Amino acid sequence: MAGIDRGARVTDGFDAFVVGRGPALLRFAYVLCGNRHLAEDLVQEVLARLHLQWKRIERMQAPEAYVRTAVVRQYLSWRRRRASTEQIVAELPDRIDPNNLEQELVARDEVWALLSVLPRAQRAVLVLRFYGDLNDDEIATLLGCAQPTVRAHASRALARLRSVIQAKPTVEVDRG
Amino acid sequence: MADVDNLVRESLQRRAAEAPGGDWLLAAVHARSDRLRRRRRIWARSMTGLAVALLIGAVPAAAQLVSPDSRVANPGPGTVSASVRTDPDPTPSNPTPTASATAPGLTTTASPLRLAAPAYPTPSFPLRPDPATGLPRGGLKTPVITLDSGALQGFFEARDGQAGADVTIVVTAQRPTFGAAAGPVSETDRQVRGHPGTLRTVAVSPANQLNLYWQESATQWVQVRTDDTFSNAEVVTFANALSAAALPLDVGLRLDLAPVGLVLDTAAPSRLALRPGDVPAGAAPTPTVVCTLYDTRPLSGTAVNVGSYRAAITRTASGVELAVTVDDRGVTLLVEVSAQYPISDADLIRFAAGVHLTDRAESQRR
Repeated sequence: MAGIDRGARVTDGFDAFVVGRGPALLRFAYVLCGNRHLAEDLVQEVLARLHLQWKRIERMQAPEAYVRTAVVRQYLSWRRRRASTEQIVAELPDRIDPNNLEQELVARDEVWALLSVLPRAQRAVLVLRFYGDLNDDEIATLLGCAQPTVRAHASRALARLRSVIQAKPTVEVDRG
Repeated sequence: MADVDNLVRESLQRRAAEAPGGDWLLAAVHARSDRLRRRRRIWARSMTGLAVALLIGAVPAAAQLVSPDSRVANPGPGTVSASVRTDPDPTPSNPTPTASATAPGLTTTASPLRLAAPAYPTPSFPLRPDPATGLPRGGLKTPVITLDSGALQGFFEARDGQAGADVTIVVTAQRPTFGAAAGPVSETDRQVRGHPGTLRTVAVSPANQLNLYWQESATQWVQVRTDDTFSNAEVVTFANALSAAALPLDVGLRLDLAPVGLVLDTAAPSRLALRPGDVPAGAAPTPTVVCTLYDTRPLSGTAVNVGSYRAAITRTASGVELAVTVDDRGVTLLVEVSAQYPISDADLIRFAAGVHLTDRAESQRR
């Protein structure tokens, strides 16, 4: 079969990339989407789609950056498609419900929990800035938007995180 | 500001350590990549025959409505497998529609289809790429030629999956039309083989889709579809170098019998469809008789036998379906006939018994 022939040929660079950079891509996808299974699916899907184009991607100056861009775009696209079933919370509530907060505090990572309810674009900007160490210009290029849009996403996301964290004492629960 | 920044940074870095490991990733990616490639090839072969919404619409009574013809053509030489065998003592044809042959609620006054040896022409693909162009890099494999809703399609897969690019050539009688594009579209005029043509580019990731189309003759429009592995100029060069050919269809099904007055509408490894001869290709309504191979699935309906195979007939207001479990090929053959062409159970079984699977036959999922 033709597919087997082709698959055998691409093993060189592509396989080396997947083996070498796959774990890093999974980490990146995981912090991006916050779900292990979705992260696995995300990375598999992107790599499988780029497989046939690999020779061209490999010739790029920064193939991993291209793959990460594809992961981010796929993530944003998936979130849009699945929004009706995943019940994505578009905006943070003004105050966290004490019961939910308790669960999140039990999870010992309040910020992580709060990130999960940020709008997808805001979360992506924070991940690219604080995990990917990209500047706003690079993030804007990656997301295909203007720099002010990136700054606005970051500003709103951080403001919301800050307001909830500062509000925490008012809803502190007894964990004893 | 810095306080929250640091919290986010630390949280993300700490949580990253909980990400799944990548030991399994390479095998999983290869498996998914292979699936994508197979899906793409199937798409190219059948041009997603799912668009065929079967058994609906008002079809003009193009077929001859006379008493059944009992002639059965012998299988021709070279038939690889006659998987659906005729009963040793076939059920005689029913000259008039039985009660079960008329769909409930159907008010048509049409008579049964007349079955005879197929007399419709089988087209061949009229163009062939010229390897001398060196396009695409690495060359092209033997094409898969199909007919879909009257459109001849040649899928030429690249030998080199990375440096090369697959090319699909589509030949139709009408000017191509396009639905909603997956990305921004641009069109530029190009001169192709002495004719004015259009190069349509759809900007999508990871590769822009190119479609060069032109009117080759009064009755023939040609499209060359590929991606931007080709430069724009190379697509035109490729098209200019196409030469005349008569490449045979890759058919998965061969018929001993066909309703008189119907012509071939779709022929692919998993599907064969016939439409009335006076209905233009690609025009609604949909084909009248469709045979499709699916992965094996449970039978439902009135149990019958087609040769030695188990089968079931289901009648509805829109038509009749005969599903045949072809055990030795691991597939289910589904024969669907529009209600506008009533057919008796006996004739339906006789027709199905004359459907043969070739060595190109492939099943599809439903």
